[in-house]
Amino acid sequence: MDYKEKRCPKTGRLISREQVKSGEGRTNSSSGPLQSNAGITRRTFIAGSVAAVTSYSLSACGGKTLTGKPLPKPTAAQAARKRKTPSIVALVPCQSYEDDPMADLKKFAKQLNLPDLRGKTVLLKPNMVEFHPGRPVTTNPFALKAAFELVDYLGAKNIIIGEGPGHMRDTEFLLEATGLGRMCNKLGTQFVDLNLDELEALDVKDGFSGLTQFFLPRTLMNADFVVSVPKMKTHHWVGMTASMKNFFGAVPGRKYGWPKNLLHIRGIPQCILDLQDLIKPRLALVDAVVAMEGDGPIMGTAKEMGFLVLGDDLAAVDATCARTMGYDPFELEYLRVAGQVVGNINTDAITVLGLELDKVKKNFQLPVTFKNKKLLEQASNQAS
Amino acid sequence: MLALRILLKEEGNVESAREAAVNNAVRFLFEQRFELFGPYLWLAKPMVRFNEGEEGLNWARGWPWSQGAFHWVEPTSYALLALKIPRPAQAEDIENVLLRGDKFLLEHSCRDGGWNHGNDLCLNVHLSPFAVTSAEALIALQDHSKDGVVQKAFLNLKKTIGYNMSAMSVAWVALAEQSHGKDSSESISALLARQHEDGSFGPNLMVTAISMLALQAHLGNNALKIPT
Repeated sequence: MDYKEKRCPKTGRLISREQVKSGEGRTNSSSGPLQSNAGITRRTFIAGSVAAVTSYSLSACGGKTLTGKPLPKPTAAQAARKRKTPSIVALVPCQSYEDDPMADLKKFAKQLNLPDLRGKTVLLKPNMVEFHPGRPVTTNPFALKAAFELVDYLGAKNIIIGEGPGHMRDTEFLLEATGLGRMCNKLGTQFVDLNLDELEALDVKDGFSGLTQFFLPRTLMNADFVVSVPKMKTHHWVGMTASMKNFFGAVPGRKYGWPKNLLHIRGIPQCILDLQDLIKPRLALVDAVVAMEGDGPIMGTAKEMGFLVLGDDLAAVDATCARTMGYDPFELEYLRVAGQVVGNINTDAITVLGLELDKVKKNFQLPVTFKNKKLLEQASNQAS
Repeated sequence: MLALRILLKEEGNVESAREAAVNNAVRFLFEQRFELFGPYLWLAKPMVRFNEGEEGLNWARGWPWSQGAFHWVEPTSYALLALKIPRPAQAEDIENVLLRGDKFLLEHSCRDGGWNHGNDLCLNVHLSPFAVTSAEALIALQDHSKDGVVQKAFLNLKKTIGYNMSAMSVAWVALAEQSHGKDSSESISALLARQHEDGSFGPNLMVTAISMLALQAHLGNNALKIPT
């Protein structure tokens, strides 16, 4: 028998060894689930035992995992950033992308007391991470149009649409395939590829990721008012993604690559929270007309929900989204800590307007990683 | 770095100052690879040799986008090309480095052929290939034309690009075809159909530059061709 080996591409550490028939080419062999203890020989065992002594060097990829270490209890400085007032989140009815939600959005904008944007430059940040025909991976163009019309109604002087696709760097293709490019043209607004924008170095103070500096796009940092316009999806690393996680797409690929792997290595929850502090988004309009369940954020399937989620506290917006998906926000690490350093996630502090949460809530099919947590550990070694 | 290497190939020789810059860049590329277990190399290396023999030390690995990150298909493809066009003479272990980089690409192709960004499998799900990453890896592997992985990637490339006809994707695919001596006239026609009235391609200068490389290659001067 021959062996097919999987090694960590960073350290070369052997992750798994599976038996394949002699002479079988690797292209014909199945790349099934990893079998971390398959094919262990006595020599492997001896070497492995010695290796365990060198705890730093022989831990996966130098002791780091893609999901990072558990978040520590926030410091006083971190906790001081949290929103001090109660939050309002609106579940805006929108049964299909043919509907026009503007009347409701205007009504809720008043109830949320959204600011006057006259004279302001507003950047709308949709999610255009990757494209797969038939899968609701990206923000629908009509949700983007709704966000555009809302900030236009609030008086915005200059509205820019900016995104730095996290996985694919062929932005021309993504704009065409997702329909977002046609919508930008129709709205007569500028699209800025945040992956290729000029960079600004920002110091991270009291951060979670351990990074001392973040390089972020100048267009984003120069905007007076940043709006997150994501798609509501399950997420195989952190449970769910909506308005806060959306800002991974604001991190420039020209600095961090495609995908933006350093953010995963430094910890997804940690980087989500650091980006919130640096970017300070002021509003979210989440596309939950058709959401994604199962193996999100890319390979999941469509889940019709029939609403948009509007709010000026992104932690409250995401916690409300999580509840409509059947999650308890306190069980998702980044949301739990966001509730301590960003905004409100406790129901007592969030007033939900519009549709009734209990009536629109559907239990989403969870990502496979939430059924089998060992997969996350294996994937950390795989550098997925 | 790749541009410097292409320049070196085109000019045949370079002034000493420029050659020093190229050599520094080569050294930088070498240092971007992460060696086994960092400061514990002295311990780990004999252990791996004991466990798996000399061959065990030649595991596949490439380059990361940034220091501290994992190795991925795109930076590995660019680094391999930069080292292969032409091969730098001063690096002692160049053959081993290229071997490991090639192996990294060959071992990380998708089940159906072609390349995603890094892994073929993520959290139990087989990933699908992208046109750009597949084409870039194919160009870096142009000295492996007969390998089954390369051939399978080409079979799937047309399918991959079926719904992706952006100038960037088509230009990279044309370059991949030309680098492997395949007919690229269909891709070139698709590329020319994407040219803007002002002569540019795609949304930025980088896409125009890649398109220029593809068109020049079609005219017989492939700057990304690895010398045999």
